[in-house]
Amino acid sequence: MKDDNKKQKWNAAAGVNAASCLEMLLREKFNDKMESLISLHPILKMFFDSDLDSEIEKNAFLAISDAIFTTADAFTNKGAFVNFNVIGMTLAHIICKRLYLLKLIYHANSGRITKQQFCDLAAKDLAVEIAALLNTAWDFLSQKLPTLLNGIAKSLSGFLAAQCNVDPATVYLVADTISGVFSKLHPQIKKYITPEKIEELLKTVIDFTLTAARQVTAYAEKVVNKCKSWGRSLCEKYKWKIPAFLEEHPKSIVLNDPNNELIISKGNPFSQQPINITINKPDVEIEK
Amino acid sequence: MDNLKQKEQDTSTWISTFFEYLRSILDKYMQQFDKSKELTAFMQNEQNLYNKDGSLTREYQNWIKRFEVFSMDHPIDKILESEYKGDINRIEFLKGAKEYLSHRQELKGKYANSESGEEWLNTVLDSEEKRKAFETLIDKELEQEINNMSSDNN
Repeated sequence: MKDDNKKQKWNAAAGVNAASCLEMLLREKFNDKMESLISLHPILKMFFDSDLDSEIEKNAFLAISDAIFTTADAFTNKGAFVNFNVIGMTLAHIICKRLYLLKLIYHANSGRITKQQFCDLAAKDLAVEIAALLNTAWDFLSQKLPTLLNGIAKSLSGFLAAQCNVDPATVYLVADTISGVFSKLHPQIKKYITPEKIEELLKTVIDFTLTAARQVTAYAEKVVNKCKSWGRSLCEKYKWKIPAFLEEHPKSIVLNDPNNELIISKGNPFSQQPINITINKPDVEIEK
Repeated sequence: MDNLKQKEQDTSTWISTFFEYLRSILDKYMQQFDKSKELTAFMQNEQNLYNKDGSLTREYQNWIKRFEVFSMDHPIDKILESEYKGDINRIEFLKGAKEYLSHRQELKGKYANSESGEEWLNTVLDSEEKRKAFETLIDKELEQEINNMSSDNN
């Protein structure tokens, strides 16, 4: 029994470590390089141009997950990981949420989906990603997590809606969908948050939310501030020490700076026609 | 500063390696498609792909459909597994990634038709005042949830 607990703990830690390493890697080195990714191979171009949830998409997710796992320094010491199944799930999750949102933006900008559809799909995908992740790799998290995530998801949906001029009814609908996912998951998550877990948990949740929010809305800072405010309330209520990172100012996001934007253009990603959704441009060019 | 330069260099090296590896995997996969040469040649000319308004050309759409059918019949797992050469850890890794993707697909299907309440909500929230009140209510609900969490724990 003791061994089982130890194994479970290691598995969970491996999942969290992999997620942290890759979030860092992807945020700094990968996500901003999408333009190069699109031009890397015809299959990746077709990935962006194919319908949402296509089989081409699934194959691309798998190939990219595998390529990161095979080449990233974060996995040099592979012996440190106990459960490679968990690493696979975590990595696929990170890849999915990044690429799928980028594909949604691409489809919205090329007019293949409306802004309202974009808003709905992005928020629903957020819910699905959280649900799939919780249901598989991170089942060690507290039964209280759904409530916390539910709040964050509602806020994110709200800001998404504000950004995309979707009415509050739709916001509620999206939030309700997310709540539905969490309530379904609730019985499966058995352990309570402990004071030792809270910092790790909140960091994970906030980082996850920031990542999602950054790609779909200009309001990421506000979302994160709200998440942090919830985190503080939670700690105060439980009379836990408030982790220092909750007091820090969120990472700033540069918007509307022509030198700091990657423009995803209409239809053809390399044409010069500007559109109205932008993400940060890399500051280091890629060697081809 | 030196550390920063080193970090940038490491980043650049990793990205190059990553791209090289990914390209090799996708090339191997593409080679299994019987019309791979024609498709590659077709895609090299951007004018073949997009109309002036940014939409996909009919021919490009057809190619995507053909490749989609090919992808259904030829999952990329086989190519990846051949790269692994029996490495149990990598096989486990792939299994986990596939499980995650299947579960994600399953959830997407399950929640795909969750828009049935939209009409009702639009009827109820028929004015700006009501909508604002509703948004405030959502925030109040969240506060209440946090309070409930606290009392549950105490």
